[in-house]
Amino acid sequence: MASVYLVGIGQMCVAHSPARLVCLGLGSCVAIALWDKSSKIGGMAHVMLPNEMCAPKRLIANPAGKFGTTAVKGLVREMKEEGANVYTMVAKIAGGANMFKDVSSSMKDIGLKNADAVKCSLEEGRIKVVGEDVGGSQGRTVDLDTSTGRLHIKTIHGMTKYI
Amino acid sequence: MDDGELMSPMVIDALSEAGNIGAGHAATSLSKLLGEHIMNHITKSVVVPIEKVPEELGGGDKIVAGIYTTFAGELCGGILMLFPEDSAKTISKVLTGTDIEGHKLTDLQNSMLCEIGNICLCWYLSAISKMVNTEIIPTPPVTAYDMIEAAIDLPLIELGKVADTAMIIMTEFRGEIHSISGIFLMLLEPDSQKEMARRLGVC
Repeated sequence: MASVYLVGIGQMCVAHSPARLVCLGLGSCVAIALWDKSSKIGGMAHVMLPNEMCAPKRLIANPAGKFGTTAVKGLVREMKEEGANVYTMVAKIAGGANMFKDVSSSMKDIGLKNADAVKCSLEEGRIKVVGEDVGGSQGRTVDLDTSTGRLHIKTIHGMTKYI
Repeated sequence: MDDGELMSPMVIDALSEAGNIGAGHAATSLSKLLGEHIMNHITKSVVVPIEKVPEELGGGDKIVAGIYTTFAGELCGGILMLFPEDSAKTISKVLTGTDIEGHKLTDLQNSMLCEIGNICLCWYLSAISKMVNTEIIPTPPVTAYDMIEAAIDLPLIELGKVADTAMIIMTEFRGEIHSISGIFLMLLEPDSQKEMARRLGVC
């Protein structure tokens, strides 16, 4: 039985196969799932905000997986330390929904801004995005299987898929 | 108040007490709406750093109805009312005579839950407003019906930029036939906490 690690809001986690990395109930948050097929090491971050610009000092002091910009670097560094190869690493992202209908426009975009920031950081790190499921208005639970690199996504409305 | 510091005990007490008063009024409103005598009782009232909120609420993928509003005036912040799935179903059954099917709200159910949440929220805000003698102006409420973490992350992100801590008040509304649980999640900007302390005469 593979171990299951829950990645809470603002956190990140790296694990060797066999293991599963799970984010429960992503709303506007974005999950970054990195997977290196050569070493079968996976990493996941549960991103809250696009970058540190708008965050209070208290959050910046311990960025971990909180920001799109720092989460990618942090994950790659930790995965390398565990023996992953950055050249065989791929990324999948999910989340960034707008949960509240009719919410004011500045807040409506937080999810998509998160997703954009994550994509930019992945591009800078030269990590290919091989799958994504972002936006919409539903919460998602995501589950990365580090032995296969498959990311399972499901919502409470019965949608379930692998990317 | 410096970054990272928790609320002053006086403000916490005032917010808890307002929670008590507000929940009492909310129970009266619910009594009328549900057609039975509803008593309320606060089961938990805590202040936690924003990052710990999901954990404190039991987190994960439990389903909730979340009704969220922000407010401005001399006190600024946001407040979220959460009804766990069972409670949302009870409210829907009693008030609209319909069941929530497949976790999907009809427009009527959505609007009804939003309104019930709004009534409860406004009683809470009104209690605070009377306590410190200031006007609090809430924005129109918005609703989400989904996994708890998904429903609370936007308010936490939005208010996490300015507030460090959140007040959580868990209430049981109990009638002879129906029982409803409700969770108030209150986030107040640090400057508003100072203002509140000043108005309470304790700064």
